[in-house]
Amino acid sequence: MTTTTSAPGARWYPATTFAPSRTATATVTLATALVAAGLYLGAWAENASPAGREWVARLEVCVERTRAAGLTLPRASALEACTAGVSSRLALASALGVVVVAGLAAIGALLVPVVLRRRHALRPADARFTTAVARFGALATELGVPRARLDVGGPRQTDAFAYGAGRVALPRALALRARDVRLFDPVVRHELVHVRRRDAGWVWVVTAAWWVLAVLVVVPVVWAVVDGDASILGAYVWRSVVLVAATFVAARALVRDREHDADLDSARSDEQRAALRTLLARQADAATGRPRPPWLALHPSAAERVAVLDRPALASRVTALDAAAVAFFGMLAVALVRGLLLTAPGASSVAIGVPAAGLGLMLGLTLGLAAWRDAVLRRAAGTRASVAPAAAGAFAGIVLGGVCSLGNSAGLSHSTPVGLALTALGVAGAVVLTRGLGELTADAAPHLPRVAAWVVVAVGASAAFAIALWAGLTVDASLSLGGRWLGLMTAATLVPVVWPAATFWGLAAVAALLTVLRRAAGVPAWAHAVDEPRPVRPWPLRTSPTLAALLLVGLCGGVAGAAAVAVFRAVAGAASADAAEQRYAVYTWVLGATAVAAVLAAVVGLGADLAAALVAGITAALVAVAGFVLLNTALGGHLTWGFVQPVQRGIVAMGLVLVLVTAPGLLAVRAGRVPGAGAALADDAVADATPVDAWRDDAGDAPRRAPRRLVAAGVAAAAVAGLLGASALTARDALYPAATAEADAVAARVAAANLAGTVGSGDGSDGSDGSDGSNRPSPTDTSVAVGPSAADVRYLQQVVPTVAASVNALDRALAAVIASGGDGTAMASEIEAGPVAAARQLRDLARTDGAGLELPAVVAAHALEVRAAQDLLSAVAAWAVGLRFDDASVQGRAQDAYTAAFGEWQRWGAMVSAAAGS
Amino acid sequence: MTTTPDVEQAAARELAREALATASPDELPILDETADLYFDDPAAALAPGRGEGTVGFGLELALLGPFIVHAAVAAVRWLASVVADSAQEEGAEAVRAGVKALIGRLAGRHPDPSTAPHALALSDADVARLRAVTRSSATSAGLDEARAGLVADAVVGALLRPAAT
Repeated sequence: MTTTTSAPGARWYPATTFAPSRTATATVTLATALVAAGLYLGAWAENASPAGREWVARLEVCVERTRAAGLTLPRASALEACTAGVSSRLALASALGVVVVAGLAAIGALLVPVVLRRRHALRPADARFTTAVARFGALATELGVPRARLDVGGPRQTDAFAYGAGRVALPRALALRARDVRLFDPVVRHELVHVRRRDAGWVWVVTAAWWVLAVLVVVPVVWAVVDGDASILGAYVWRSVVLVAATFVAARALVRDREHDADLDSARSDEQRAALRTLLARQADAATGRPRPPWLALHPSAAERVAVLDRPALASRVTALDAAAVAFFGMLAVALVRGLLLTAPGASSVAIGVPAAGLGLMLGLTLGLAAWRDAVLRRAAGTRASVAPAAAGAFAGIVLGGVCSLGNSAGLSHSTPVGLALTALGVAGAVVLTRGLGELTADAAPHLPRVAAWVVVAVGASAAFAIALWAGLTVDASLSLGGRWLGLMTAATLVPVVWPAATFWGLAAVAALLTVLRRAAGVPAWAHAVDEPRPVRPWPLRTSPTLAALLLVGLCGGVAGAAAVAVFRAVAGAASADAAEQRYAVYTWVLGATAVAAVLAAVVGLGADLAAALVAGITAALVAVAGFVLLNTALGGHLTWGFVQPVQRGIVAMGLVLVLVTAPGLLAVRAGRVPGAGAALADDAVADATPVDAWRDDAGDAPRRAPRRLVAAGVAAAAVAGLLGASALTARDALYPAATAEADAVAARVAAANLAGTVGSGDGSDGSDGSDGSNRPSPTDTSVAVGPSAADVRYLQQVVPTVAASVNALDRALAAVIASGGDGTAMASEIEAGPVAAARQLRDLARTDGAGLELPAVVAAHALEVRAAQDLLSAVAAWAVGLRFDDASVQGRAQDAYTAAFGEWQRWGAMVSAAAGS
Repeated sequence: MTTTPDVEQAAARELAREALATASPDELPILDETADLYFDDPAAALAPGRGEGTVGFGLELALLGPFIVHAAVAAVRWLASVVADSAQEEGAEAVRAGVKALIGRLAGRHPDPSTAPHALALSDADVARLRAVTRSSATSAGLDEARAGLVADAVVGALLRPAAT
């Protein structure tokens, strides 16, 4: 139950090295931008070459061909088949582009120390600087870098800096004043910290890489002008300008942040901080105004540095720009990596998963660790921070990155506005979740090992971001390929893989554990400055509900969701065979939405952060699953692990995705409805004024109002779950295609219309029949040797859509029978009456619809159709036999055979698509 | 009539050494190098160095030595002109002797100005004028007012202080 709050005691000065620095991972963000540029430039170089020009045109043809096909087949496999033979070369060229950019940057960074030594006449400190050498050595040993070396510059050097591998250069004026420890020590400590953190190397690599990028992005423009083909300029120029400008600004911000880190890391006692503060104040007094705008400066102002020194939490804020930058750069790379994987042989199946996981990891390491650091530092400061700016920044970064990606200018990415917006919403929701996870972990920090704490946050945040990205990119791809219906169908069936549900399980389990660990304790030793005595005050805790309260709210939501399904089933009766798939998909939406209802009630009603509210969310989803399984069993279904496991996986995964997408909205609702929540959404200035009631220092008794709040939250969870469920069931026809026949008819009309527009486009003999094995068509070859016959046209325009619709209908029908569970004999009978009969018809049709075909590509496709139809019939019939006799091994082999047969149908689809475009 | 460049440089070096001993004694070990650089290329010696930006501290800590030398040169030149004016009627030889005496005093050969042949006496107005000249030379070289005043005080003080025996 929630507890009363009390005023915090005196603040303490926090330690600042308890977790990896945010700037360390921010460097990776910038490196991502450079990798993205390298990928693009490598691919561009390949395509700009004489042989590559053909491939560029072929790629465009293939992209249009697969989009126009209108078949509900994986686009990746179709693209792969269409461009097989040249894809590996493109992938190699892209990788080479990254190597070139990285190599040039590394060379530039290696040359920097040479340039600096000459420019500043740097020499190792000699006998004239004996005192400086001795004091430098002592400080280096104290800071753990005994191998650092001191150089002294010429008479014109005025600043101290770190450079090269472990070297510090001091101006003569400073080296001669080594006895003035108030001047010498703070500066040298600061530079030695740069040495320890290897800042010089990282910064110069990033800076050199930016210079390389700024030069290389001009090359395609120059080439286009020289070549006389300016077609790419419109899409490319402004994107490259945005990339270069954003990289420049981000690099400067990174350097400024590293200065703050070095200040905090170098001044670890009151005395050291006082000396540094005095020195910086003198710098501020002597300053004659910054020559550049603050966001372009390489150094923060002296005033800013003093402010951060006094309040380290100022440097830990995750601003909108911080979140936008990492999201922007990451998304820039996603489109390019996806394009690369779609074209690389055998990699199309991971074209979404790999970029999602990569960007998720990057976001988790940057924003996740930043959330953890901020949460801990603010406990020392007694302030709270708003998550809204970071969430908004992440949203904007994803959208801008998706729009500005260089991959768009090469036709490698076709994000839809809706898909991109959904992806951005999910990522913004993950930012909110990450913030909550950071706060929850910070609450439990006294009871956790320091490293374990930030690892938990980093891993949990990475997983949440990865899921949000994967779901968004998957739906986006479906929307791009097949429009609204395919997008909705994909959204309802996002669950073939294990890890979305596993992520929800994992996050909720961690949240539950952390909730239990939250109890009164002292300030951990690693959380305060090392030379200060441990603060006697207790570790500040936020107001947060107990585990029991969260479980109860979840229970209410889950019961209501399951009840909605039960009521609907009772009223609507059993679904027909045609509507079975729709029914099940909508149930997934309804039961998954119970997680949203429970999370909403926990966040708004109980004041939980989103991370803790996940406990309520998954509880609701699991209770809903249990209710559905019970209902299904009561209606005659078999209660088997093979049935329960995919059901819970699907509903739990849907629940997490819905929670992430709706989280930003939950934030707004909480701000509007919860007293004092506005303070939680205010910035530092306001939060400083009203921090008191946001913290509690004790585990006092629950106030009288707590039971009422809990009841209200439970009722709210149930009401919202019921409302969402009723809404989804009512609008089911808008969420999923109503009847199979209607959906098939829509698909067939779309396919026919699109194929009619592409047949006879006449790019000639292109070798796409695979007969020469090269698959290197010449789209400019206008010597049309063989045109399609009437039979070819009829086959492509009429037979193909019909067959494709029949195959899909058979697949859905089979899936519905399998999903329904029940008696094996009954299932076998259903399969024999439905899918087997349909497969037999397909086989018979395939044997007769090849008459008169002349186009080699069409002839080859028909041959595959005949083989695939026979294999499909065999597999489905065998499956029915295995079910009838309850033989698991026969069922397993039949399932494998069915998968193989369906793969043949997919290849057939790619072949007819290729034939239609030729 | 004025002093020769060698005489002027020698005088300025000595004067700068005495001034630096007051203003920034830590820089004495490198004064010779500083003065060499100044007399090779005064503009370069006095020009502010460029900060290194990345992973630098943000300091702007320049040596005082070049400015001391610069002010010392200005002081020596001004003094030479005063000697020249005062010995105008006595002829060129008197001027040279006067300046030599000045330098000699500075070199410690005639610790008591009153005992040096053709000793130069500076009135209060002269001292004020000398301070203004040195201060002006320091500010024109880029020093802020506070540090320019420090330089001027050091140079004038060195000039007026009896040499050590």
